[in-house]
Amino acid sequence: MEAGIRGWGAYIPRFRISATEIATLWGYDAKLPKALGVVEKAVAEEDEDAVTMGWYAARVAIRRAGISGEDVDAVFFGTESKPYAVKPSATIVADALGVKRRKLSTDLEFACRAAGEGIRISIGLVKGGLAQNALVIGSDTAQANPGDLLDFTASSGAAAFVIGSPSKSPAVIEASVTYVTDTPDFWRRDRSPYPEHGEIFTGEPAYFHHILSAVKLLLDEAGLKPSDFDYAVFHQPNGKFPLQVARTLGIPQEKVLPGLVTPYIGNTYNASALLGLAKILEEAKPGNRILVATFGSGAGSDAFSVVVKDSIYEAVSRGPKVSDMINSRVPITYSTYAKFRGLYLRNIGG
Amino acid sequence: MGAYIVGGAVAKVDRHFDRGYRDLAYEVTKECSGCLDVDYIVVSSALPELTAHQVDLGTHIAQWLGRRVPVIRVESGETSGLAAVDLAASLVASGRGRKVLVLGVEKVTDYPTYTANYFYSLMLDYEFEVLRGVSPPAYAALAMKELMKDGVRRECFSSWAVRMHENAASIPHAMLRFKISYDSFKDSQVLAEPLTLHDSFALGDGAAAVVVSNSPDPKASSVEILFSAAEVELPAYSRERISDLNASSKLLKLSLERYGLDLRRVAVELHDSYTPYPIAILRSLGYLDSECDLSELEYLNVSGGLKARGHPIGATGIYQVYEVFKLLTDKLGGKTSPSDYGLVHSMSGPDNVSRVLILRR
Repeated sequence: MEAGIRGWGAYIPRFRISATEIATLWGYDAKLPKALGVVEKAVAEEDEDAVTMGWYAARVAIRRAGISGEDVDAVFFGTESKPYAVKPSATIVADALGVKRRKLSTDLEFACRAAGEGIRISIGLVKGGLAQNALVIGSDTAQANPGDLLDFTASSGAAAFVIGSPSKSPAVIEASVTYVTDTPDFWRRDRSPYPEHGEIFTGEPAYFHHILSAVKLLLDEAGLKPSDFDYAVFHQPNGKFPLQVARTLGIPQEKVLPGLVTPYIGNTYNASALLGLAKILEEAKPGNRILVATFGSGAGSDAFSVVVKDSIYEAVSRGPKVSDMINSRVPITYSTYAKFRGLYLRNIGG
Repeated sequence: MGAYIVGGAVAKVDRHFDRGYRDLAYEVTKECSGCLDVDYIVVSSALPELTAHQVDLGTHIAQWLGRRVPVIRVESGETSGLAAVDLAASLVASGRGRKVLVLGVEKVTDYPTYTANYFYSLMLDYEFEVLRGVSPPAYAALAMKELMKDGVRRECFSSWAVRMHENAASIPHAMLRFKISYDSFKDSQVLAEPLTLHDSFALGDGAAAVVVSNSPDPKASSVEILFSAAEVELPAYSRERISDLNASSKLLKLSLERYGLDLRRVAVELHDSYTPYPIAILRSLGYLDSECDLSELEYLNVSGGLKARGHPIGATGIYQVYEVFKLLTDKLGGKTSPSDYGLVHSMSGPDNVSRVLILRR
């Protein structure tokens, strides 16, 4: 037993832009959204950013954990779209939540998996006695070069988890591993507004290799096999890759679909797999075992085996559900999307 | 004095993300007995200045292979491979070399598709075509439209791709070793209406080697390079019809007539960068009617062609020569050529230059 998930929370902006509209605007084949497995994606409004979304998710996570900000000993903020290039986001959220001053607090960056590593760091802190409760937030307003393939998926959303004692947790993390290499499949250079990616290179040698390697390590170390899991959730850059990973591992689609959120809200980067995990926790039964694997370009993957406990129902009732946030949607046009995401160049003021 | 192919080897055509051109060249020569026992090296590569920032690639490869023999690099667009074999045959025939290693290598997948496609489009005339936005698939689409106006049905082009994938499924070094169906064309991405992704070659990294000798190898199977010719055609924008691939048709017709060959019995590797091109060539030679029945052409692109074996541009011609060599001396895809003759055809762009090689066992 490594540590427990004491609470979790999510935030998904209600605005949605359809993949068909993006395809039409940029002259893509109308079949492309289906090929990517994406129907629409969530768009943060003008006054939202990674910090505001992360704060909301974290507030719910703390409420679900049945603790207060004063009980949190560490805050980790995983993002690749922090509002300040230099100045931590974690401290803003921590102060807004009333987290005590004697704490660890920092931002983590590793493309889409920094929050995954934050959970692993938190497990270490809890097991080592340096923290009773660690708050991990994954939040992004992901950027995409307008008209690039990423424009179909790069979206906004946040997930937060309070990691603490397994005995006080509605779900326990029974095993976890991390697998990391230097694989340049996706990057954004300093002062560049949008990331670049290596197209197909982001697939086999990056996403698939790292997730499969992490999951295989996890299975070996925990003595588990794919059939031992009732649910599986993988990082979701599109709607197809997670299903392909599941097929490779011999995990049936039914165990993946409950946590597959990208087709409806896009790829929320640091929140991607974690929103899937949050949704599964809200639907799972005590005793269920969940396989979780994050992925971040660069590249790395964290794999977790999570077992749901009897107290899950009470925890679920303490906060809004992911499925409700997915269903609460306001369609917008590309022009509104462009306005919300600051894609228009404007002169403001003098 | 004649010229003979006495050995060779090929690497799998693939996206070799973890290997550079040196690794691929080394790997393929290691697999090829006699590849380094040579007194001359000809390297065929079309794009190394663009993709590897490397000038004088031949010398650097010879250094990497630890050979101090003379080396020269050949570039003639997509026909670089056959041009290199042609040069090697001349070297041994003239006595300048006894045994020549002809090594094709190309590394193209280190770049995003739009960059790789741009490099590939430079096979066309930069000032007259590339700068004006004319691209290879645009020409292929126009050729397809012309053929469709002539009554060639869409299914005809699809049947080429289906057949190439069927063939490649049993070729270990092929890039796309899976079958496709006619239905898959419905979902295929449009490159330039009516041309789809399924009508296009597969771009891959690769390396292939053959050894050209001035005499047959008494200890191993050899084939003679009987005929090697090339012809330059008018630029596509100056032709009446883009689908008239006159240089290719003329060279192939000449080859078949001179040696009394029938493509129904002869192993042939045709350059099929886009499906309209081989269809146009076979129609001009009288081997295809409007039904496009390919079933009688059993030894046609046994490798799966550029379509499915893949197209590592400057190395592709060496793959083709190696494949026909295998069909004549051993087996490829479970087949052995019933005829003593084999044909290799290559062209750059829409028949800008075409080359034909005839091998005889």
